Amino acid sequence: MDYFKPESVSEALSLLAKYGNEAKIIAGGTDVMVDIKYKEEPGCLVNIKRIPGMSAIEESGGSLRIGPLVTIREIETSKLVRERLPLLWEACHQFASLQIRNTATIGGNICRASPSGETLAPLLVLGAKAKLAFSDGEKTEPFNSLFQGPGKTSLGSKGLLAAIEIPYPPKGSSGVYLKHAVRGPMDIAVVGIAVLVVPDSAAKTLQEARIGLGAVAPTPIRAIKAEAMLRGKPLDSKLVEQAAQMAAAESSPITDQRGSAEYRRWIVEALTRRGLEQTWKAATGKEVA
Amino acid sequence: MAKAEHSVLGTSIARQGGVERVTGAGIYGIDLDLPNAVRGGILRSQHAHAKIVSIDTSQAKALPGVYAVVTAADAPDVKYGRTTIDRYMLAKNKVRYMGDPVAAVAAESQAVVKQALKKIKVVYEPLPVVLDPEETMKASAPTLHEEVPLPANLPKDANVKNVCSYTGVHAGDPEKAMAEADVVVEEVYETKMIHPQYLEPRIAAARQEPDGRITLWANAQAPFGVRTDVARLLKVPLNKVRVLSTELGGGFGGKASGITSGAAIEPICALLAVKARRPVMIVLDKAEETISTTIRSGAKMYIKTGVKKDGTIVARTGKVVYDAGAYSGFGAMAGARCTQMLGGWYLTPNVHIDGYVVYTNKQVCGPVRGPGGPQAAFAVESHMDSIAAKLGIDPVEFRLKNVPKSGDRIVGVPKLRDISLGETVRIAAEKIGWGKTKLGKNQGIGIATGSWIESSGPGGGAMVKVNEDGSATVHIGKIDMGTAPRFGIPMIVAEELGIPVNDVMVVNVDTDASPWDAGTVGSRSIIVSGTATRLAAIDARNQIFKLAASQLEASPDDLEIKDKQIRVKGTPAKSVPLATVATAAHNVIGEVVGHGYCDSKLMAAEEKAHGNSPPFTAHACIVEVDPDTGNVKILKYVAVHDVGFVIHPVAVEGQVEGAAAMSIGQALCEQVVFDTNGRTMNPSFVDYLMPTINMMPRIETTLVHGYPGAGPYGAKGAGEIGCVPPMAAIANAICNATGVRIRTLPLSPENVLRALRAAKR
Repeated sequence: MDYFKPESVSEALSLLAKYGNEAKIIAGGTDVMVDIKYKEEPGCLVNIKRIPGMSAIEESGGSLRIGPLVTIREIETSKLVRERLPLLWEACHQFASLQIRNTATIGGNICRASPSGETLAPLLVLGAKAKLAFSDGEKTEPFNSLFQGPGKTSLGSKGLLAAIEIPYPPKGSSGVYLKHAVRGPMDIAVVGIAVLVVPDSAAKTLQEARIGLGAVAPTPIRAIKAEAMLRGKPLDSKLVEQAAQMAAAESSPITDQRGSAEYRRWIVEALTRRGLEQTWKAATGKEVA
Repeated sequence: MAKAEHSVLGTSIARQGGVERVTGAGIYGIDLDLPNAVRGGILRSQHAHAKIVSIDTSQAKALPGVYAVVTAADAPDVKYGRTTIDRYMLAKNKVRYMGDPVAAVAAESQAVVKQALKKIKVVYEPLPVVLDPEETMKASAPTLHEEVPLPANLPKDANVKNVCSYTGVHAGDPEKAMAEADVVVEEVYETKMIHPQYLEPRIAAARQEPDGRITLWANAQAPFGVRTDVARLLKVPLNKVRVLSTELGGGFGGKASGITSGAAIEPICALLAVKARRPVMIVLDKAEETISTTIRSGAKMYIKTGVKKDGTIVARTGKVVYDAGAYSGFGAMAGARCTQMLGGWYLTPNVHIDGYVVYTNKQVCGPVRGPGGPQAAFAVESHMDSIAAKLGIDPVEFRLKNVPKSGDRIVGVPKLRDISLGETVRIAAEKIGWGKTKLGKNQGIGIATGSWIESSGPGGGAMVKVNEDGSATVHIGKIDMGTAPRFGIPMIVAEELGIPVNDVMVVNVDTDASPWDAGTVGSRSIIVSGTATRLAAIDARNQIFKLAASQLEASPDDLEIKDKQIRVKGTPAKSVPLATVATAAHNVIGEVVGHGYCDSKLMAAEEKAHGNSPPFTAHACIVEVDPDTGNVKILKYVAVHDVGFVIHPVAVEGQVEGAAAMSIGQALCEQVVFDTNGRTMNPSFVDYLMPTINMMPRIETTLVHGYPGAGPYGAKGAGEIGCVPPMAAIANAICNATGVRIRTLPLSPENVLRALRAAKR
């Protein structure tokens, strides 16, 4: 197995162009190293950790730009993230162990494209965009079209994730990330739900609700029909219940040793309900009627 | 109490070797670095049941860097097994589970080993796979062991197949008593397979010495058992095999059953070393460990109890179907224990239980911490609550009502002596706040009891050598895994010889030098090695007094030993240092070597005459159940134990906490999951869910006193019994919180939510 340490994006891209599917990009290595041990070895490893300029968290206008090499722990301890994107902070806080958070990068979490990836449903709900570098130039891809299947993104085998841009959520909004796993953070999510609600200025109706579902479809998804049901409506428990059921219906989970498809739908329903109730209360100071 | 009588016993001295473990010094088997050693690896079956048509190793042998490739054809035609001799070290003709060793390779590096294993071509002819023991027993099931006859003691009308062993428990006239009972409760319980999941990987390293002898390093709980089977399988005399025990980073019974535990990793390693003419070391990775080594079996338990209206138990009948796995392993013993314990440890005059231990195409049963006991207790103690509910009696009262008294018999114990069961129940109820604690929404309270074997089993010896500086070197046959060898054993020697604990060194097992021992199993370290060491230390002390007597011009009977000084009682000025006497021994007997034995026959005779005082326990907990997700959180947990005389309180508490944690894991999340082909779906720690500290409550342990056992100073074994009650205690608390009785483990969020939803319908 060959091992490369490119020092620039263009060097990395030319390696990817040369080796194609044989190449495996490694950053934190928390997934790649395990795969090497238990699955097939890749033809070559391309370690991108030395590439400068991809490890910063910066504010730019109304959004935050996060480099793909920023570790989960750096996000978790960033004051800026905590203040501006508490939803992302919450997901990083529930992300495995401290040791893993110290090593794993947000870029790795995204490019791995695991349906249960902890940061993915929150990033979807936040309307994040990915900057993708290809040999013929950069491209901006919204998160809702970035993921194409388990382990598959629109980067293909030739692209490199260059940055993540996350717009700040609207004023007065509130978000929450709810993870269900047998062992809590120290476990892969059975279901992960990100909810963001934007009440109107009178705190009467929902201007907008965004619901992201993790681990219950081939990719992280938005519960679009449930969101549509909620948009512009005054929130009451009956509507919450209907939206929760709709979110469960929109999911298409699989059965594996972590949980059956049926159980996962039950949890989507329960956590969507819980997420809407919690965020509504946090945003308006009122319980759902 | 203890402190007045003893100077060292009853205190919690620092564990010898504790610092090295915490700081990660290179002490374990995996740290072994033999000169010129090469690596070994094992090819495992990819079918749960298949005929081996052919094995072609030519490509693997041709690979550069490969030193040896072995199959069954390279080994003597000898089988092994604990109760039934039903297994080859490398599969011959047939494989019976996915993980069965088929071939092995020795090569210059782990990478080459991996490549070589891939180049071994095995042609299989798949056979039907059976995973459910009840299915395997049916006439329509495939035969798993053509050459193994059905057990001779099977009931005549049993009409079963693939049964590896049978245990029948019978007392009184259960049919009549059941018919006369006021209330009869009948239930079915089931537990699943768990793996003991010690963190330290299993290793074996072997070297053939220039004179042909084989030296083996193994992190085995039973080095002498390993020696026996390695010698048998390689057809060499016992004195040509030397097994050195490495330090053990956890075993929990998973490394306790000779070569059965590691699916013959030790003889395979030895065979490779002989063929490769190089030392060979094999280290199993976690996933390989989970699919190939011994486990705690799943058990299906049918239980039926007749009671009088006042709560008196009159009869218990039942059936156990215990999963042996692909080979007999420890199944017969664990299944027999489960069958006995399904009879309970309350006064039950009429009992009939059939216990079938059955072959399946899965991992093999091992003596995992309290083999058979936790499964039985899950059924028995959940069932006790079901009966209490039906009678409308408080569960604590119902248990107390049926506590046996001195002289009574319970299943497995013909005559009881001191019975701590009632006191443990009362204390547990008090500590958890039974009937007093105000429970919140979705909260419930539960209690469960347990018992375990007090003695029975092979004996063992000890040697205490007193060095010329007055320090002592001790040889026993038990290995250290956080148990007696670095807690109780040095304390006993220090107590009897009047020397500081740190002057006592307990040597790790070397089968060439250590006294024979059946293995570090069955909560027997303190009973066997503790008893033997005490007698050996007393023997050494007597020799010292005899040597010192002339020098002090006193009778040996008038001497005492304290702070490494031998003194005439009542005349402390007349003294001689222990070092002087031990040095002088060189010119007389050479060296002071005390010998002692734990004589099991003598112990059994004592018990027959005076009765047996088994350890009892009661655990109680408060849980909260999330009605939306099924998640169970343990809010409070108390464990009350009688372990007889307590030699090292903190060590005992550590065993209780560890054992409780192990069964809390089995209760809430642990399970080896299979697909229909018999492939383990969760072999690694990513998918096999062990509980983390975040899931663990603080386990509040209380030790009760006044019930002396058969061990030294009245001690009882403490390593396993903590595993017995937790699963039922938690299930009972869940039932109390939700009104739903769950009879199948694990009580995972999904299973709990499923049960709650089913109950609503």
